Amino acid sequence: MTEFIVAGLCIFVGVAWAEFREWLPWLAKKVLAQAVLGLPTAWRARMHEELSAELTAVPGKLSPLLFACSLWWCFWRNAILTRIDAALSKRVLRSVDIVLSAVFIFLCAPIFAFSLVATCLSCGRFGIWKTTRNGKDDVPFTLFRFQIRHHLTGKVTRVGRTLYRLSLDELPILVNVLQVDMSLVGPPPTVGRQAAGVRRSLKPGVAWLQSTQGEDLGSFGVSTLPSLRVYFKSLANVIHTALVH
Amino acid sequence: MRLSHTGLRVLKAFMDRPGVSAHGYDLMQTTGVASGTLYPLLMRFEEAGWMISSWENVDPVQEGRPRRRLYRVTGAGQAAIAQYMSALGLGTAA
Repeated sequence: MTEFIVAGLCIFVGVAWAEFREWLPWLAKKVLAQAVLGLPTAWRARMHEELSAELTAVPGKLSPLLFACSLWWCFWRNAILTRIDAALSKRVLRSVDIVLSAVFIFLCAPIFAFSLVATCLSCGRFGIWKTTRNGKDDVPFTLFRFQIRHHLTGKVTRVGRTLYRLSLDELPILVNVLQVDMSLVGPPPTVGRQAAGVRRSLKPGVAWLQSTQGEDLGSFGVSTLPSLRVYFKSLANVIHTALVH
Repeated sequence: MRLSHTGLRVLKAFMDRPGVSAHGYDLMQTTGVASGTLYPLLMRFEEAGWMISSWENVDPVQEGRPRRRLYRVTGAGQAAIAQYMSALGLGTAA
């Protein structure tokens, strides 16, 4: 009886294995179809066709499945790591923005107070000028600056000219940074017209590098370390320019 | 564009055989770079204009297999790669 069961079991395993081997190419194609879903949408169709061809170049029946599994693992691991990195980079940049703008506001509080009083007196009204600019995704926000013109004559006041020359009229922008509307580093805010490309997906900022300055600006806000490199390089650039001029 | 050590290995494989087109699986065998790393890398090189790719000019029915995608380094790519490698003190065959 036992021999009969063992023989039956052996036959069953043999048939099941033979059947499984026949299913392996089909399974490899299914795994590959799932693997390419881990790629950016624009790449999927082409990569699916390309990798289907590569699958036929892999010898054996189990190896193509392993090849497809390794693709699945790498594509999905990269996709998940990229998403984590993008989320992390946004949080890190926001944290640095809050800390640095709070420190700048604290350090510049006496200058801020003095400028506000001087602007109020010279302009004949409250010294903060509010204007509308386009922010991230073209959402309008209120930008703060010190008033540099007299509210009746429209002429630039002496205090306003001094503030403008020293770039101190932009000091209230630090409040915009604390308020989420802006970042210390980002492309300049636009007026009316739509920002193009990568700029549209970024918060406007005070400092921004030119694309010719050797940094991959497209990775800003997408990957943590390149974003921080662009961030501090932009800030250093602005501080250097301010000190030189 | 910043290059990793793996990226350099792939580019070196092209520079060692200038003018030759290669498909992904062939490159995987030559360089030993894992498939999941290699294909996104090739697409990034293509986006950067360092490589161009085209479908193999074969009849899939006659060949009994799907057509493959062949990669080739462009002139701009060769210049960029040579510049990058010389900066790192690596020689190129081109």
